[in-house]
Amino acid sequence: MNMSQLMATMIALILMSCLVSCGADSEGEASESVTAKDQLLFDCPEFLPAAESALPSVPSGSINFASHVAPIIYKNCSGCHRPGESAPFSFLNYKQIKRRARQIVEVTKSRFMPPWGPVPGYADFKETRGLNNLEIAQIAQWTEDGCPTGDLSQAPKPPVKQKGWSLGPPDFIVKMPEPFVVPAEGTDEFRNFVMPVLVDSRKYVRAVEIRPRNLRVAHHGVLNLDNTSSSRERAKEASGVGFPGMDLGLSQAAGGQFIGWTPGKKPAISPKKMAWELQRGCDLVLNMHMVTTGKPEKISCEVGLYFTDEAPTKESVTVLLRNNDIHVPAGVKGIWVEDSFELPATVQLLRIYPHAHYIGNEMRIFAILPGGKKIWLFYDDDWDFNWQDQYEYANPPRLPRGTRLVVQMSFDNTADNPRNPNSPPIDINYGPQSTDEMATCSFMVLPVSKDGKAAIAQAVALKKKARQPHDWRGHVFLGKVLVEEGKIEEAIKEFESGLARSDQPELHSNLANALVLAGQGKRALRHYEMAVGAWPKDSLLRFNYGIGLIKEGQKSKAVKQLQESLKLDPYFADAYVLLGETFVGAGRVGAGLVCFQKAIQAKPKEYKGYQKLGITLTSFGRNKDAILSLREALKHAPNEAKAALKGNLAWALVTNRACTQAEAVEGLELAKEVALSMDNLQVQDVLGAAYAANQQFDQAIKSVEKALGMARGPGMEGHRKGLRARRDLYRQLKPFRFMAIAIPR
Amino acid sequence: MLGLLSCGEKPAPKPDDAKLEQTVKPVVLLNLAGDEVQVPDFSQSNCQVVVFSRVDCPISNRYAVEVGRIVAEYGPQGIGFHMVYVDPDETPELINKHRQEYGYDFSALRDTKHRLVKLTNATVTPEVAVFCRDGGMVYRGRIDDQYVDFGKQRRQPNKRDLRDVLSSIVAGTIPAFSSTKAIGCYIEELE
Repeated sequence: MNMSQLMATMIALILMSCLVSCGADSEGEASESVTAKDQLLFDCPEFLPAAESALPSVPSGSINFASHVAPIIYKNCSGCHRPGESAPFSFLNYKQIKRRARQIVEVTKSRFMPPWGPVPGYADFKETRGLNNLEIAQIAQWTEDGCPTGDLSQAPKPPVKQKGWSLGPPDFIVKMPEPFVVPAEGTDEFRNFVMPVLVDSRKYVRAVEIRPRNLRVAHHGVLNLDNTSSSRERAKEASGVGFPGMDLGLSQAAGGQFIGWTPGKKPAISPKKMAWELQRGCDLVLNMHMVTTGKPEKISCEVGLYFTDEAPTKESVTVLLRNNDIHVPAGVKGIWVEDSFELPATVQLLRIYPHAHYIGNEMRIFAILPGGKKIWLFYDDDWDFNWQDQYEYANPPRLPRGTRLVVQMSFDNTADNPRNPNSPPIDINYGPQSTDEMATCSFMVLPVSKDGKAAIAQAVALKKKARQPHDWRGHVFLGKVLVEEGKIEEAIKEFESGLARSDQPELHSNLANALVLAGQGKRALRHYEMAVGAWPKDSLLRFNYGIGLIKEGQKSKAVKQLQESLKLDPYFADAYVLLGETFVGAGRVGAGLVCFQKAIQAKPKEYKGYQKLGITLTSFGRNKDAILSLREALKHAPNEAKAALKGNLAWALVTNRACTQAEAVEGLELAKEVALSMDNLQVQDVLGAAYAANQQFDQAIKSVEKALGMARGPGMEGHRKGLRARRDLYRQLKPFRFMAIAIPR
Repeated sequence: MLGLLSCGEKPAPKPDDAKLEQTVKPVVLLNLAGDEVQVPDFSQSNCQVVVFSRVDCPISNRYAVEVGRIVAEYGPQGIGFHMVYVDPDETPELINKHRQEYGYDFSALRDTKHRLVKLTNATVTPEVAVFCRDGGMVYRGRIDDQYVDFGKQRRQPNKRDLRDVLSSIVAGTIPAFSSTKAIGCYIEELE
């Protein structure tokens, strides 16, 4: 891989960070429009027959604790209703359950417990909580009958409490820097805890477990990921731990997977082959909803991360539907808003994350298939902000291209709505605070074909921009999608239009990256300067700036930016590698080698440091060390990097002045293997040297001549000179070997 | 003095509550030291409030700060307060710890036989009852209407029932008996 390829990869890597915004309460403008229900564009599918208000009749005397009630309660309630868990009262034996029987009957009949928002029967989700009508009726009859025990010796055992992490010890634990104190009384607290992720290299996350360490106050939480420094800055500006509110700014749903916590919820496991990427230096942002309890309460939260070596091979896209035209006059109910989106590619719908605030009261989410058939995806007839959740489909529905996703939400701003945050009611408009209102649903969809992702991402971006023509974030969003699709010129225009609206470091930074990709490094530098001026502590930004400076030949300035970047993040291996290459390119080989070694120290399981070290050592006749380093690189490299590394290793093996017979054979085998998948002058050059090392000089000459044929054109003189010199050696039946020469500092 | 105040017109009492009017027969509970305490006891004050509670009821606990404010405001105006713990399994030690945690510093009693629960017909915690020398039990029910149902609560109460009753009393009018439905944790019957 040459320098420009490396840099392109690095930029791509950096831009890959979640493309699509996922429900951050941060955008948009309220408008005056009001949608009455009869003005909705789409009719919803038919409703199911109302759940029988009359529960099935259960004969008196037929129900006892041991055979009927214990299994229901232990399975559905005792996980939370036990010491140390979030719910009050323990339900671990007959006595405890009998004592609360009347209350259990009331809350199960009203379906307040177990807590579950969606109306049953409309869509099947994993980890559905709730009792069926028969179970509810059985508990009621049992209570009516005076709570008979049955044969207690035959009763099931209460579930054993899971101690510690439910998936076993995590690979990495992220913690809050210090606990947060929830006051004794007052309205609920919404707080964003910014937790730096101090992993030593890029990781793929297969599972996440969120553990609030005070379950009396923790109500629910949503995990976001911030690859910028914006959340960190906001936490610094705010007093206390983290920062307040529901506006998550530039952070994104981690992995696009809507990872959340509600009491009793199991850890979030990524769908197969869909681990998500975590870069070092990013922050996890845990948005916690906390309740007051009557006394001040300390809470700290931990996030356990479980890694996998398996890079994701499937990538989901987040489709965000939202309607910000919310204006609900005081005392009015039955105001509806709607949003919809036509899928430009066939997908599987994996998860959804519906969201509204306190006066939202009915949410309908459904799909209209291309033939006109309508299917329910979610229905909640009594939306409760406090029990919002992220839902994973038990059987992910397949939605063909042309399917329209529809979200409809109604609001009740009357005094009769006890969840109304205002008394007397006041007008409520769209906004990010919990006392404002929202109506959104994020859909995590998996395109069935490879090009589906780009099509959906672009359609989402265009929709988002159309929705918010005056918001600079729309330009960031669309620009990033365009970069990913390789439409760099269009992306540049997007970022520039965004800057015309608002002078944002996010826009300067993205524009600069795009300009570098477009070969307009000179223009890029000005924007990097602006971005760095605003975000001086962003190591990634300085690294990108360094790339831009190298492209413009301003190497000493680049070295300075890379060094600054490394001061901010001493584990930034890619920055060491680039700095090392810059030193080597400038003849400071010794300094370069030190950088490669530091890259290895910083991230011993990343291959690039070993690779660069090996290549450089080879050129200076240190083949023995080079071979060791390249073999180590191969151990850690992803599959797509292995061919190039094998070429490097073959080269180191066959150009070793102390090359053994076995090494020569191994080198030739490797070179042949590489030649099967790649063909360029380097591959032919390696192949030539490998043949020569095995005394097959006719083949060696053929290969080197093939390489010469590829080394035409200006700028290739150096290559041609080396290739001709090797051809001369092969003609004299001599292999090509590196001599050990002094390494310049 | 409250004893001199007139009672005003009273609506016809509900049958269940009839016995509570005018003449309540005081009951005897234990304080945390194990001493007998009579409730109500008009030799102590002309008007007494009991707050039914238990240590592990989240709704009760969330009222701790408001209860503290009410005691601080009306206590000096001649109204007595008792916190009455209804669960016989809650030991004095547990109750003391609870009081410390939630900052309660007024009288705590244990109704281990549910004498006061039966006398007042209280059904949940937190629920309050107000006794006046010249009115018997004048109020039983919620502290305010912040909780509408389990899991449904207002940001702020619209109606502060207990404060309204107490304000009326300290202003010189002993109100007619009234009751409201309190939302909270059921007081389970004794075994």
